Amino acid sequence: MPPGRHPLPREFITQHQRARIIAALAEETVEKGYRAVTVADIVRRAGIARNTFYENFSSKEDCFLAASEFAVKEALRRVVDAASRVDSWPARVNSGLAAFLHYVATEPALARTCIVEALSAGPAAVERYERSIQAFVPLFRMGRKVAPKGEDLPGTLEETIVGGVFWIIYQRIVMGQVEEIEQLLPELVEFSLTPYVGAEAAKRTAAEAPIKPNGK
Amino acid sequence: MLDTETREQTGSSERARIVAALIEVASERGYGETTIELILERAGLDRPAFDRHFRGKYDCFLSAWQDQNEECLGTMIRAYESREEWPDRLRAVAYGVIAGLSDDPGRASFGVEVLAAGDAARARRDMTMRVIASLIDAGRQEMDDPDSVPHTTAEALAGSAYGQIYSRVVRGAVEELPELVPQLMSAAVMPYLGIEAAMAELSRESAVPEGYARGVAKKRAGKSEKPPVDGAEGYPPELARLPPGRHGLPREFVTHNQRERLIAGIAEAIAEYGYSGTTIAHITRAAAVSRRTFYEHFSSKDECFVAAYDTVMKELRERVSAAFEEGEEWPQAIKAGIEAMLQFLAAEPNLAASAWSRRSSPGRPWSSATTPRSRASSPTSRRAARAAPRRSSRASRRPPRKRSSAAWSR
Repeated sequence: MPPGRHPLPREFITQHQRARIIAALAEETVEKGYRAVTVADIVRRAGIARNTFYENFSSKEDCFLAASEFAVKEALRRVVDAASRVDSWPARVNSGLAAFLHYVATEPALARTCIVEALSAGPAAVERYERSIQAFVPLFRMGRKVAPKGEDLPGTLEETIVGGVFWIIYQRIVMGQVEEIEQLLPELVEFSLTPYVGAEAAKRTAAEAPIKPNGK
Repeated sequence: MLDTETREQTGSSERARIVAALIEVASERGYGETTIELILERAGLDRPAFDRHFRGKYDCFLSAWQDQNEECLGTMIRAYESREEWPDRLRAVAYGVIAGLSDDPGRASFGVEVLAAGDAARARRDMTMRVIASLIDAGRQEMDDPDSVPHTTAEALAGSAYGQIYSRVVRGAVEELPELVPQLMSAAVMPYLGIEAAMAELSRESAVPEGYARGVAKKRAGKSEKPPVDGAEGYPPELARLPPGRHGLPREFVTHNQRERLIAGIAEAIAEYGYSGTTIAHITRAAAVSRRTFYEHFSSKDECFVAAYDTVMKELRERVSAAFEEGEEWPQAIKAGIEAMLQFLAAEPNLAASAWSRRSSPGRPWSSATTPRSRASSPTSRRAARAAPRRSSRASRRPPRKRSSAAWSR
């Protein structure tokens, strides 16, 4: 390769670098807790120069927020993708949640960073956590259209459902049971659907197999 | 020279002043910016006074947090007991918690700040959350088919309620909390009582009852027509602390699994030697595994301890679930859960503090001084201990754990 020429587009490299730094932050956070992680740790783990870190992020906090944003976007993408492959709204919840739990199970470090630390790392992280919850709220709000008294349901119902699912995941991660997380699918589907379609219909959907999440 | 009683009173009020000052300073400045100097300046006390009660800033934080959690649990249980019907009970709990937060926004923000301090603080919070979940889960007793609601439902409801309250506290919007209650209540009763009951909750007016605490007290006093729940003696009114020396980990934990054996091992070793006296060798001997095996699972004593803590939480949940499945009455089930938790907390406060201070200030010499609480066997705690389930029989043979009181009684 002649010197001075880049085999890859600039944008690709930047993307790749950011992903690598985010992954490094997540791994370090799992190891020692967010508070104790330093930029030096992240740089070492990612195998990049300190300058490179600061070209991408202004601080550790900035990097944490980016990690959280990345994870939420990716999770949302997978959920919507899975949900769009089935027709009825309850089936979409089933498949979407399956995709979500699968993502958590395959990315435990990132999940821990975004969910556990957000509930433990003080005010700055909390705002981000709330935004993560809000990102999923519209998907559940659609359920009001199929619910007999949809518009009368409590205004914060969707926050309750998403927050509840996040909390359960948080607890399982803290207890080191992340590999069992996908087994919770039927219970969480029932929890999420009951307010909209009633307990019986929710149980029926929860008993159905969701479509297989895309990514392996 | 002060007699013992006077000295104890002075000590407890000194401690209370320091804790109050800590909460104020921390809620204003955040966890990281709070220093012992600032705390003492606010409390109007000197450094020796601080050292009499706490090993350092982290110890102080954790003690204050422990106090708050216990107080919050006490408020919740009393609120719950003040009513007869499950939805009324739950509503009383919700307003009780919220009244506490609104009355004292400083404490509310302290509850946010303290979580930035690490796993020990988080683990305590999660213990409290377990109790809240079991109060919600009592709703299944109202159903024709109590098994029809998944066990994660109550946990999810408790967690999301916490999240919604927490985020409003962070935003400084404590005044929004009362109007949140009907929403939370509606979501909480829906899985158990159905949609009609949920709608009825929404149409209730939200209000933090005036003079909440007094109202509860009066209610209790006037409730003599109701025979005391047989477990009333098991609910020490102030959720009294139990004597030390019991780890709360049932023998069943000693399984074939190495990791679990180590967890049971650390609990046993701590009960035997106290946290500071416990060495890796004690743990591995109790667990009957090699030192190398220990390090395959944990990097340190502290890490092993936090794992033990998490295990107890899990056990607590399962125990409460199991109690429900066996068709036991709620009071017995929840009593068992709370007692198990108190047992563990009573044995542990300084353990978690040590895990914490080591992590935060590596290399600091360990002081064996404990938090200056009297853990003598009071009548209430003895009663609670007697009623405690699945208690290790070895506990009674074991002499009370030695606790150095030198640091605070000198």
